[in-house]
Amino acid sequence: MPEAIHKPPSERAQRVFIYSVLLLFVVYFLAPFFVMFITSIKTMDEIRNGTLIALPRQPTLEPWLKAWGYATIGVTNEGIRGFFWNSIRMVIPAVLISTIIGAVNGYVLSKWRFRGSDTFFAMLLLGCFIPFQVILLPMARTLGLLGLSESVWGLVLVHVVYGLAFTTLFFRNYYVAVPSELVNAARIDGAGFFRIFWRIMLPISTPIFMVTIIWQTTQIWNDFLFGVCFSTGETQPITVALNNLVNTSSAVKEYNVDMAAAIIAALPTLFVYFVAGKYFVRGLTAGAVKG
Amino acid sequence: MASLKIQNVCKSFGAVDVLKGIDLEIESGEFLVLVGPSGCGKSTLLNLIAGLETVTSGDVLIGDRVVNAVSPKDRDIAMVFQSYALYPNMNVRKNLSFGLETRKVAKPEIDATIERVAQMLQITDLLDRKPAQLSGGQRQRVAMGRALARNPKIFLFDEPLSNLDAKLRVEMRTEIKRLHQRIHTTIVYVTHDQIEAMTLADRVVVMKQGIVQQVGTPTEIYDTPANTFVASFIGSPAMNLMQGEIEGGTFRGTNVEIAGLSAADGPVTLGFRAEDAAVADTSADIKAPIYTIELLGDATMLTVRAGGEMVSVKAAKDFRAEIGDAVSISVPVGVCHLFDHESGERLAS
Repeated sequence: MPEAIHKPPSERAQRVFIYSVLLLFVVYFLAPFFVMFITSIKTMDEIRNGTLIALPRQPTLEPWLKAWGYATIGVTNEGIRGFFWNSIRMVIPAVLISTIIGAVNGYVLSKWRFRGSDTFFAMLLLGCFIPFQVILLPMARTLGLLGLSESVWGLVLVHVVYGLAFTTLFFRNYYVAVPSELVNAARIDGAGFFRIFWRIMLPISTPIFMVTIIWQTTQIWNDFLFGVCFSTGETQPITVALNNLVNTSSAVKEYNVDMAAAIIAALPTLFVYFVAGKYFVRGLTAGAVKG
Repeated sequence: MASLKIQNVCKSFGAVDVLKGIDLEIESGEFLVLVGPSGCGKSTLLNLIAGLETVTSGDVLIGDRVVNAVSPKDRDIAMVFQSYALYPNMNVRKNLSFGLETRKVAKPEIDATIERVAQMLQITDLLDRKPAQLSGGQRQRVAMGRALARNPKIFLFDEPLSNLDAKLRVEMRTEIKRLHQRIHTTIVYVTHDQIEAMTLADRVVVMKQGIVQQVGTPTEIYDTPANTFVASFIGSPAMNLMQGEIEGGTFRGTNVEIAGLSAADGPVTLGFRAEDAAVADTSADIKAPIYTIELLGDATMLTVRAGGEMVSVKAAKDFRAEIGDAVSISVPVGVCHLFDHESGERLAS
């Protein structure tokens, strides 16, 4: 939309006010990250002698290298590198599996209803309200029986099961808004259950896929409780490793290494927001759903 | 092309009976229109024919085959939906070819079919566009093209014109009629618009609350409605229906007295069409003050109160009067329809 050339002064003042407030919030939210970042590139000497917000005089990448490669975590000296990959290996299958099953669930619950499907959906929704802590013991037992305890695949299973309630909810609500006539037309055209899903529903699902992937990635990557309960030592995800790094007692508290590790731990979720968020908005504005 | 039989079909959704024993026979190549107010079950009946819903009891036969348990794709039908239901992610060409691809038709044949259909409907220029880039009328054409491409035994139309503006609707109506004259495929067409029913149909089925009220040619339905519901549903304006009593061959009601009827004494509903009566100087059957007067251009429409109802009469285009003026109207005995005053059924004349 072209900018109006002559805006009344009152409207201008409003704009200035709105942007000032927004700017204030931006500063407020970015300040902690700023402190984390500059701390992570200072030497320990500088941290001890300077103030919190002072810029580094001699920036160094050493804390980052240490955090990544050779910081002491628990009893090992290999940094958070291995745990970072643990998390990646856990998040990718867990997000993909829970999203795909959620999409099929949503498709069935909105377009192929069966007797009791609404009840089924209501029960599934209860899953959104069950606190993590409640299922810890039964889940530990289940994982033990399945032979998956203390493995990355065990964590994947837990996150898939726990995420299904949310992913199903997202897709079901999205597909409910898609006209059923579309499915009927495809049925008359001779397409079956999966062909309709693949050729008609999936191509118009980009926005909801992005929402679900952002949601699931953030949830699973950031999870600490399941990670700390269902994994040990080498299979722990990065959130647990970060905790252990900070809590590993040594002579000096290395704030710069802690900060670098914390930022590394946060990078993938930031990445997903920046990349997928763009597609998300694009998908919404394309207006492709209207038949 | 195929005939279609509906035999004692009932459909219930839970405790709600939507269709209560429908019997219809549609000949091969016939254009049948199902018409009725919302909720009369006409769309449900169409979905049963399509196989999108299953019958609660009764049989649907396409040709001589009972198709109750046959899935939509194996019934060899095509359907045009009210919302067009074009696949939003595919361009027009893909929309047309989807059904053929699903049926594993060879690529050259698909291309030839699309070419032919696109020319027939004049959508050749639109083949590479997405549905979102089309106007309402163009979408309607594509939806029809998708049905045509398949060359089915039976076409089903579910209120295909109700999302179009008035002018386009008339255009597309004519086009559908011409299409049928050209391809002669059996068509079942659902609408709530009685003008569409009258103009398109070989035969019209008037439905109300899950029951067929009357089946007949447009002329039969218009000229000899089976009951007061059909009389008031078909025609614009609706047939005038007056309440009164017959005594010795004379119908009497408020402001109305029509002599010379051959019917038994008793209360009755008398109907006539607005264009069958005339403003008269003498022989006044209805005498009443004018309630409204509308200039339509080709005629002047008067309404008066008679027999406890509003009654419309078509007068000459140059007829002028003021509201409240007394007017005399002649209603010849020959144009009167008599209905049972309770059941609304037509009385044998």
